Amino acid sequence: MSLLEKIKNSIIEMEPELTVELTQSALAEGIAPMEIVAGGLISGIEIVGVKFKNDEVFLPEVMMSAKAFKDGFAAVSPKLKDSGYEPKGRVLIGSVKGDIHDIGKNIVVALLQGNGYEVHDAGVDAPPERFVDMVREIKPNVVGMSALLTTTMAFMRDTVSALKDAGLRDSLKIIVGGAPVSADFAKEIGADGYGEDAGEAVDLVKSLLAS
Amino acid sequence: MIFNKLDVVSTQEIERILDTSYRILEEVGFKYEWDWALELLEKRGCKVDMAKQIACVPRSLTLEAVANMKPLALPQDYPKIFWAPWIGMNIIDFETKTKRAGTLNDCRNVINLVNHLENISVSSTGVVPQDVPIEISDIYMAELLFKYSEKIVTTWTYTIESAHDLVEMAKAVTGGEDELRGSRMINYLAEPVSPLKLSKHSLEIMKVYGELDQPINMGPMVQVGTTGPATLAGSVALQMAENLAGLVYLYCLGSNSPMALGGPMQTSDMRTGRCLYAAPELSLIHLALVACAHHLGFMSGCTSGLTDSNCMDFQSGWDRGLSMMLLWAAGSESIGMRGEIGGGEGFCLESLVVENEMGGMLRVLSEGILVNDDTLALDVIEKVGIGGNYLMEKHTMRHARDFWQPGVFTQDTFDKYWSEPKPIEQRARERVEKVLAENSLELQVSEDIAAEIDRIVSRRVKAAGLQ
Repeated sequence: MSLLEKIKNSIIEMEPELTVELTQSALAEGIAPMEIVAGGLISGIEIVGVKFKNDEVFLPEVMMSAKAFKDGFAAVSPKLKDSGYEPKGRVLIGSVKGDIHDIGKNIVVALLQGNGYEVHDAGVDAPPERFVDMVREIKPNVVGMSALLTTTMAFMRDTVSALKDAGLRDSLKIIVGGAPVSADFAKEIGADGYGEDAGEAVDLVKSLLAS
Repeated sequence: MIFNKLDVVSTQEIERILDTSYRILEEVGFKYEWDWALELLEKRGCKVDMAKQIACVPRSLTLEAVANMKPLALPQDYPKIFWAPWIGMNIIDFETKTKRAGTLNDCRNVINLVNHLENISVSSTGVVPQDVPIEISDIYMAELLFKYSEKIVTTWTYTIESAHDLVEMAKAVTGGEDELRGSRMINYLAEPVSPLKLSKHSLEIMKVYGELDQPINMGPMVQVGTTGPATLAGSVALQMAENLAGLVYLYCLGSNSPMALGGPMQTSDMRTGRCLYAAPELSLIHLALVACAHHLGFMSGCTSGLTDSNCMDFQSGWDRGLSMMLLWAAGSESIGMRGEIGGGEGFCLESLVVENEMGGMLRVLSEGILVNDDTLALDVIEKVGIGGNYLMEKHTMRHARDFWQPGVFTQDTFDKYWSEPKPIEQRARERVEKVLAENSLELQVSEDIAAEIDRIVSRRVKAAGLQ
């Protein structure tokens, strides 16, 4: 079995430490970083993604595979700088002001990272100004907002307004999610999409960036 | 009778679970995200890391709090079990098969309907009204409940400002602070953020209500496998630790709030992480929570009778019936939260009517079989003798109306039913329409008190700069 095949399998088998070890071995053997990413890491996580959609792997398992991908990618990324590699997209995500719930957001972060997106976490209780500042700094393609509380949903609207006021709204897509949030609410506040769960959020990011 | 007899954990196992909860609070600690609360806890012997906002609660303090805080008790004139409506974001409309955002009018309809459903003992608005500014929708919910509910109410409080407004409204209704203290106007559901955190605003609200001795239900929502361990015992231990963290805080405050322990724990769909509202494991963890609350001498405030089904089908009946029945048999004082459908997708008036009917059946079961000379009926058995019948006997006349009668459930013959078939949601819809058509929502407080409540709402709207 080739080293790239082993990297792919370590992701499918949810073994982050092995993924890192194999990635380092591949680099030491002179395999091109882009080849490691495409032929090893991405091939592995793509298979996991299909299995997840088919209910063949469960959420904790897909998150562990995503961690393997992320750790493997971190091991190879310093060598990628000059290779022209671009992440699939850059996403900024956070739980909005007043909301300290983060389990949903963290799952989305893990799955996006595991799908090859560069993800920046605005954390919890993130006021609109923090989103604006981070958008200016990071220049994401997508901003994701999470809320679990009825009362904090209103800050999604405020954040959209703040991004508009800062002249940043048109340069990015905005997605929202969380238990009280709905597709109608997303439309009402001027967001571009709503994800019912983490898997849907990843699909949403994919489709928005493709469009 | 089987009521209060079902155990899924032995006394030894309960003690082991609670021992783990005490250890979690003492060794892992609990994050109280308010420095004022941390300073209070530190003075009472907790080891506090102010930078991390974590307090490690010594077992001795937890046990002292358990021994001294008083349990919530059901009012004398209330049924043995609380049946309280759920509060969701959407109304489910069975006619159009759609869900839509709740409105103030929906809230009024829910209160009106609950006023006339004999087995729903606690009222709520059923939905969060979203035709008002959502950040102060809690004020509008309280306004409607305080003005129009004929029953004890439960509602949400989002912020410390709302807590003060609700207190002012409740004082207006009861007549003042002393009267409020003796009442159970505000039943606050204190919700730690699992695992092991209470937000500043929750702590502030608990302080306001705790200092006025209002009932506080601890409502952590540990989700097995995501915000809790993927094993039932571990998640129950974590859930009880979060319950006790709130109880210790209120004890240190010097609160006389009566408390219920338990909370709406959830299991997860491990394929997606989605919260589940019905699963056999969910009944098991709630049964364990009821056992833990009772072991500590507190009333249990757990959820049951929920469904992940999106319609009134066999699944929803089974989901609801199974968990209701199990918790009832374990002696749970609460069979909340009614009217939910679709795994928390929305509130359904028709379902509330059907669940009211289920409640009536369980109420009959709770009464058990009365065994005495009259009910053994030997006199009349001797009188009727062999053959004959009991229909015209005085004994039968006295007891003929003792039996449960269906409202929307059918006991028709096959031919009668199919001559004009009506699915249960249609029969429930007709009951909803009849109740709402025949009964207008009437003020339960004086015009003066209603005007005072309106003044508090207007002041808040103005203060918030909202229309």
